[in-house]
Amino acid sequence: MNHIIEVRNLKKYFDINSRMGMVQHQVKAVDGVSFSVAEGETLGLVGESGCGKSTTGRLILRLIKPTSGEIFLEGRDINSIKDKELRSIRKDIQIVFQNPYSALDPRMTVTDILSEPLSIHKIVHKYEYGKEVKRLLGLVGLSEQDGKKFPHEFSGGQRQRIGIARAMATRPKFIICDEPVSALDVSVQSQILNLLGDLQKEMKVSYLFIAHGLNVIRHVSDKVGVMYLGKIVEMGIVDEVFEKPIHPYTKALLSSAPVPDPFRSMHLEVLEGEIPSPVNPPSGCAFHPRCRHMLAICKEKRPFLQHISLNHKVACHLADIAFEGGRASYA
Amino acid sequence: MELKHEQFRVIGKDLSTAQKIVRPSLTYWQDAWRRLKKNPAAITAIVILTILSLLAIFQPMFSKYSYSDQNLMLTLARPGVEGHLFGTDNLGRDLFVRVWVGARISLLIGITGALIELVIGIIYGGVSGYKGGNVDNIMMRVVDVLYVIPEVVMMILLIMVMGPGLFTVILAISSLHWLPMARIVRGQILQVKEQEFVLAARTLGASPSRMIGRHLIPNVIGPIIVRLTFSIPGAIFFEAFLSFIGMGVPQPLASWGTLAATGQQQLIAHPHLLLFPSIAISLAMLSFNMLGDGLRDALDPRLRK
Repeated sequence: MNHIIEVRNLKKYFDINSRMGMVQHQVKAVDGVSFSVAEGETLGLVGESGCGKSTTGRLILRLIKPTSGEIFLEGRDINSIKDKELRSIRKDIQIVFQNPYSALDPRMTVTDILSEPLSIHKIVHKYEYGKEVKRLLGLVGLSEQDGKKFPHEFSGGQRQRIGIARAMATRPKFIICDEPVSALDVSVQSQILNLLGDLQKEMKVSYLFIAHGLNVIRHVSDKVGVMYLGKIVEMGIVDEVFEKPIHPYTKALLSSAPVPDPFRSMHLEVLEGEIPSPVNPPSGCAFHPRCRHMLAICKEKRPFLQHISLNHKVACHLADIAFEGGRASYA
Repeated sequence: MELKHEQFRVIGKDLSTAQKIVRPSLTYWQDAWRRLKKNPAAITAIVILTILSLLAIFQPMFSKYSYSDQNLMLTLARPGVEGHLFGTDNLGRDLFVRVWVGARISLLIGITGALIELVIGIIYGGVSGYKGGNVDNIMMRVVDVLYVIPEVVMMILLIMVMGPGLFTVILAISSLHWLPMARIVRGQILQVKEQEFVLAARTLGASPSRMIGRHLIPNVIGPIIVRLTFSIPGAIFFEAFLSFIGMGVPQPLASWGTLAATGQQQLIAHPHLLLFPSIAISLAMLSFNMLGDGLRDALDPRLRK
């Protein structure tokens, strides 16, 4: 398959300095994440707050510099290139932010906001900015008159549309949606999700969709990755992961999401304890203190992401034991 | 009374105006001006400052006396005597013209001092806030160290080394006054820098100059302007203080400070010599402060309705 983005063993450790300026601790915000996204595909990324989802997105955008690892955009390593070169390839990767209230410059009109990417990357000629801005506004369902307004004159959903239009202006191949709907009303959420879906079909963009709402992820993604403390613990085709979750953490996450079906019995697998501090993560499998199926090996050895079927990978010792026989064929 | 169907007529709706925007969009500055206009204190301040500056510019041009013309036959005249509106000083110089020449010097010192402060403060604080990390740390420690120097000592030292004069006074005032401005700018930049629209500009590939010029500075300009309107009276007052202790502009040039200093010597017998310059200083200070207050309210986006 044709990969737009491929990430290999991406790591980001933040240093925590003591008073003397010496490195005291490291927070392993993202700790060895690998995945790939094909053309026109959506990869969902779920996990609790602080598990490194957003950091992963920002690493791919090179808003922060990875500690180690490789990021390929259409086979080209963008992690090691210089800043000047980076600026020119930025048009291929864009982002839609979580908070539509702070994502738009309050001092610029919508036309200015949407013209900025056009002028930076010289997408169209200067004389055609007006036409292009009109096209972008139409794309996200806003009218031409809205171009003269300022961000504060719009509702949250409309602002998010402007944010999407801005991301689309450079005609990117890959868009990171960093919780684009979690700040919006439920009624508006579906509009934005459908808009993103329509644009994907039209423009053939790929998405990395970061969210903590499982329903949202299931609705929009082709593949899903479940993150826990900076690591992907389960990844696969969305239906397979949602129907047959293997990792105890995925199971707990799924059972925590309310299902709008009164006849379905509530079987809750409640997670005990808090998410451990990423400064000092538990040994072995990071999930073991909260896992009800913990084995002796879980405390000592870190499990690695292993195929359990063609499109489904899990990092869990239990799965290792259960699927020992069937694994060889996918290795 | 009975209403019949025929008495009514469907006028329908005019679709051509359905999409029309009635209230025009206001830019940030239009909106700020709209709110400033509603503040009577700020408008009074603007009027007073306009009158003061107009008199300072034009009165000495059209006066029949010059600020240095002495008339030893008519020293220490009372206000109103022989066309001397504010009277004359101990050398028989017209006080009215001297007050407005003094206004020129004082306002010049206030405005240039504040502008120098603004430029240094924006550049220093802007670089410090934008770069962040160790650069920020070092630059701010330098500011901390300079903060320790007592202002008066620094100014007296400068004036003693460079000799008194207009330029020295301006330099002396702005030499340390840029410190709080740098801190304010840095704080504002730090705050705005982390907002998502700045990150968005970075992901769009905006160059550092575009980021600073189009996104950061326009979003921090409000507090900076407010600080500026407060630092102009600060500079005027400091000049008056320096003149008062004999470190200001040399004679026969006058500033409000030197006028007050000479007036103070004749306070018991001829109070008008101190009165008029003092009123001018007070009016200017009060107006700048009221204007600053008004601007702070007008430019604060949280008060936006």
